[in-house]
Parts: sequence; structure tokens; C-alpha cells
Amino acid sequence: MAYTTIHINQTDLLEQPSKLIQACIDGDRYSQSSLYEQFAPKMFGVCMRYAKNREEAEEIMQEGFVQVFKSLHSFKYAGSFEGWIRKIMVFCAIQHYRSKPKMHPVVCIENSQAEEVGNEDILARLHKKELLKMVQALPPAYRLIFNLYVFEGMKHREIAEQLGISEGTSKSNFFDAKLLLQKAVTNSLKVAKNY
Amino acid sequence: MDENLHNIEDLFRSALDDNEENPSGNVWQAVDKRLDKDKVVSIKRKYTNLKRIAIMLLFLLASYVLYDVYKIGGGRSSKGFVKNNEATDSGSQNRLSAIPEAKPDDNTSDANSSNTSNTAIQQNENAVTENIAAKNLSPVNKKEIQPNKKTILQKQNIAETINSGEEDSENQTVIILNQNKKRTTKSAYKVKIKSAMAVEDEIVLAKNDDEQQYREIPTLRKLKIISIERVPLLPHVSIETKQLIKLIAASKVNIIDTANNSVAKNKNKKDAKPSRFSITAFFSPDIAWYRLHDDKVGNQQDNATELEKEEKHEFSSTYGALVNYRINKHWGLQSGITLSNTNITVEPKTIYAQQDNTGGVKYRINTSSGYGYVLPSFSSNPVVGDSLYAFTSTHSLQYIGIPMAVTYNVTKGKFSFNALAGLSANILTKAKLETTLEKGFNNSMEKVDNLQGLRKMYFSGLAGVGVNYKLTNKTSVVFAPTVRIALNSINKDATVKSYPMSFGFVAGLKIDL
Repeated sequence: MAYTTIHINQTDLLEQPSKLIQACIDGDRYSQSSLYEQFAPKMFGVCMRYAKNREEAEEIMQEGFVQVFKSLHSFKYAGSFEGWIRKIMVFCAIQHYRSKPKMHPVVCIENSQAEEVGNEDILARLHKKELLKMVQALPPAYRLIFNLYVFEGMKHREIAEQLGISEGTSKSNFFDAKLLLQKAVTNSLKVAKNY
Repeated sequence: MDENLHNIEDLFRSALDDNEENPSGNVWQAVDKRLDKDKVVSIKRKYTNLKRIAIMLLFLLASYVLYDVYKIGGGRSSKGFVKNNEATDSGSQNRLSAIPEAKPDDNTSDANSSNTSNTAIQQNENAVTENIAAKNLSPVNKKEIQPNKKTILQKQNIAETINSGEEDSENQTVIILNQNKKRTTKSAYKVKIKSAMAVEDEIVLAKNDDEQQYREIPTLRKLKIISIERVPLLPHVSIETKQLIKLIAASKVNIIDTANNSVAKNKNKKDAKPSRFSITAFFSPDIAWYRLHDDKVGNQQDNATELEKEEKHEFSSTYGALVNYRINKHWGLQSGITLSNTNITVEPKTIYAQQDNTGGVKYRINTSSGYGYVLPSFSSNPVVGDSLYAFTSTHSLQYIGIPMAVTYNVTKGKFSFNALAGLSANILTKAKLETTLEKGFNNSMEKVDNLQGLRKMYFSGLAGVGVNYKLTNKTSVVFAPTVRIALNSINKDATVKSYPMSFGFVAGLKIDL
């Protein structure tokens, strides 16, 4: 008696993403789990930048992966699969931001004098997690615009269209976000120096 | 300052662009649940649509059957109408006594009825002669047309009326045609013919009641009418005699029946009419297999791949009774009740103690058909994680199926070939497991009468082809290989989702009702 199965060897799946994708489209939960495991760490890194904390990042990623599995059939194999998943995560982050009640940030930005140090030095003195916390500490709108501009490479015009704001607002928020981050970096460096 | 800000961008980009972090396991569980939920919703939506379509089809089918039954009833009432007329006309018929033997029609298909038909034909001929001779009685004559095998029209009842007392004072003829399309339909056509008989015909009829002379009447000869009976004159569609003659000639109809015999004949026809229903008792040894999906990722002990390796299908079978309803020559519907048994053996394996649904700790056996908990007497107080060795286990599933399929039939001589496609609702009636457990020198036979994690009902698709061989008029032997494929899984919260499939060699006996 011959048995039939739609399961594919795990190694094959990893070696041939198209097989994995097809199995996921077919609803094979085992393959979906494999795909999740393959991309979850990278995508969680992305979500962490867009969220104010880990819990929110997990919410975004959960929604993102559900959307990934639902939309897999529309993936045309034209570009990077990772890039495609990342776009969905970013889209979900934007949706998450939109779903939250809008709070206009009142931020006091003091004109502190930034210390003239190179990036390598800062990175040596500050841990990545500290930098991530700085981004997460930004007001939601600033954080979103900063992420879209710096990490996704979007122009202010595109960001404005995407978020339904004016280009000027996008630029202004981005500038404020950078000021806040600079201040945070300076403070952290001062603390580190004192130690 | 600006330069610093620019550096800030680069700083964060280089530090965080390739940042990777592991999310907690809850994320996948949540995704998993969401996907399940979406799947259920999608399946529910799909089934809702299917249900709607099924209800619509059922409604259409019921309408068709009702219409069909109504039509049959209509046909019968038409015959009843003739019967009543015959009753009113019995006086004239009763007057007939000596009935000469008439010449049977060459094209008559029903040899048994020809004698009685011809006898009655002559009765009516005499009656007509008498009636026409009486002139003022406004007699109504009826001729019934019996089908020729070679003709498209199977049956025509013709009643001819010569009504001299009508408004237009013209001789009029009413011909009632009960015309069977393709030998089965019973739609009635009633045609009124003006001047069906020429004056000279009447004269001949009046003068001569000799049978041969009657046949010489030009109009009737053309119509080949050899049976006549009184019926009331009815308002009908009017056509000219010539048109009717052409019509009849074109369809090569022979008129042989008689009014006198029509009731009995109609009754015979009714009796002889093949029923649309038939019943098939069948047995089918099945080759069964299944498609397994992991339902709970993370349970590496018994995932789909493992279970597929461990399990083996044994003899499975399906038997039951199917009712076929013939919609028309080719199409039909099939339903009924089936009982299917599937037996699967599981290779020896280690089983572990887990907390069951009641909170107690028992040894859990996972199968493709669900799971069961056992508690052998030699290990009645296990703790979570304890293990036992289970020898070959067998689990059996029994389902009652209610199929609904559309069939397409083609008949060739004694053979009838058919194809079917449809759905079956399968209701779980039994799910049991038997195993032998061993620990050290102890072993015990354990039974689980009610496997858990199974749906009470699942749907499967049916498709098959078959051949029937007619043994007698009403019985045939049937052989029909049929594939059954589960459309949804039989499990609801088991380790795996199982989609059973089978290929059955259906053999049975079909009886036309």
C-alpha cells in the first residue's frame, strides 16, 4: 500500500525556497513553520525598530506573518523573498501605527552640543541594544518616519504619501527624530564616559 | 551640527540594519492559531456557499420532480377524460355486438394489443356509421393513434367529431393528439379540423356500413384512421385537414387504437411505463489510504511523517443501498445509505504518559484517526513522561455515508454505462483502538472504544464510472469502480489531520422499481 504525503524533506525546503513557498501556499503547516523559523529573527529585528517595546514588536510580527502566509500566492519570484516579507512587516508596522490613536508629540529638544566622535567609536562604546532602545524611545510618528527614511530608503514624498501627511511634516519630524537621537547618544556617551 | 545629524543616520543604519532577534515562541503559536482560525472561517464560508448551492439544486430538483409528477398526472387525467367520454358513450358502444376481425397494422409494435385494438376499431367504425346515419345526433368520434417504433411520435389519440349542429354549421372534426415526444413525454395536443370529412364521405358512411367500404372513405383512408369514438367537442387549435394529413404522414403515424380499448390500454401503458426509481444493493472492497498533515507543530513524537511510516491500511470495505432516480434518458440522481469500515494497523512503538482531558495521567496513543488514553493494570499510577511499549495496535473507523451524486448513463443493448460525481456526508459511528502494552514481564490487552480528536462528520467527494448488465427487465448487475476523497479532515484536535481516500470496486444488484 502506497502512502501519499505532501510533506517535503526539510533540507529540500531550505535549499529550494520555491518548494517551501509552494508548500506554504498549499497550507502545509509544517512548511509554514519552517518558513517562519527561517525568517523570524531578521523580521523581528525589523519589527523591534518600529515598535516601542518587545510586546508591540511581537504583535506587528504576528500580524506580518499572518499576512505573509495569506499573500504568498501573490509572490511573483521577481525579487528577493526576504525583501518581500520585510515590506509586509513594514506595511504592518504602518498599519499598527495608524490603528493607534494619534498623539501629537510634545518634545522638548534642547540644543545640546554633540560630541564630535566617530561612529566606530560610538558603536564601540554603546551596545546595539542601547541604540535600539533610543529608536524605540522616539515618539511613534518620529520613529516611523525615521525608520522609513533611514532603513527602508524611502523619500520624504513617499513617506508623506504613505502616512497621509505633508512632505514638510515628514521632513520636520525626521529632523526632530535625529535631534532626539543625537541627544540620546550624547547622554549615553556621557554616562559611559563617567563609568 | 548638520554633520553630526548625518552621522546619526549612518550610525543607526550600520548598527541596526542587520539587527536580528529571536521572538518568543508565543508569536508562532499566535500565528498558528490565526491561520487555523482563518482556515476554519474560509472552510465555513466555502461550505456556506456549497450549502446554498446544494439547497438551490435541491429546490430545482424538487421542482422538476414535482413538475414531472404533475405532468404524468396531467397525462393520466387526459386519459381519464377519454375514459369519462367512453363512459358517456357507452350506450353506442354497447350497441355493438358482432365485431369482425380487423386487419392489424403492419407497424404496430405491441402485438398483444393489436387484436383488442382492431376489435375495438371495428366497434367504433360501426358506431360512427350508426351515428352518422342518425345525422342530427352530432356524434363525436375519437381515434387513438398508437406509436410506430420507427416514428418519433409514440402515441397519438385522435378523436374526430362531426358536428353538424355548430354555429358555423360546418362539419368539424376534433383530433386529440396525445403525443409522446421521444416515447416518454405525455403532452397532449388537441386539434380541431374543419371539413374533415367531405360530404361524399358522409354519404358513403351513411349508405354503407361495410368495413371495407368505410376504409375507402377518402379522408379517413388518408388519415389511416381505423378507430372512432365519441368524445365531446372541445375548443381547440384549428388546422386544416390537409395540414394534419401531412403532419401525420410526415411523422409516419399509424392509428390503430380504439376508444373501446383505450381505458384498458391506457392502464396497460401506465403499468408498462418504466419507473424512474431503481435501487442498488452493493458491496465494495476498498483500497484505502490517506493524506496526513501535521496539526500541532512541535509534537515531534507523533507527527504526520512518523505516523505514515508506522501505520498500514488493512482490508476496508463499503456496503449499502443506493437509490437511483432517472431524470431523463441520460441524467439521473443517486442517493442512499452506505456503511464503510476502515482498519489500520500501527507498528509497535513507545507511548508516553500524559495528562488526559479529565486531568488524570494516562498513556496516550496517537494515531492518524485520533488519540486514546490507556491505563494498564500493571502501571495504574503513571507520572507524566512514563513510557510503555505498545505492540501492534489496530484502530478501526466506521462511518455511515449519505451520498448524493449526479449520474450520466448511456445504454447500449443490455449494457448500460454510467459515470457519477457527487458528495457524501459521512457520520462517524465507531472509532476504536486495540493494543497490547508491555512493560517488563507484564503485558495487557487494552481497548479504547471511543477515540478522541475525531469530527462527528466529514464530507467526501465521489467520482466513478460503472457498467450495468441487464439480467432481466427489472434487474441488472452493477460493477462500478469509485473513488472517494475526503474534502475535510476527519480530525478536529488530534496530532495530525487525516484526509482518508479510497478506491472501491463496487459490485451489486440493481432492481428497477
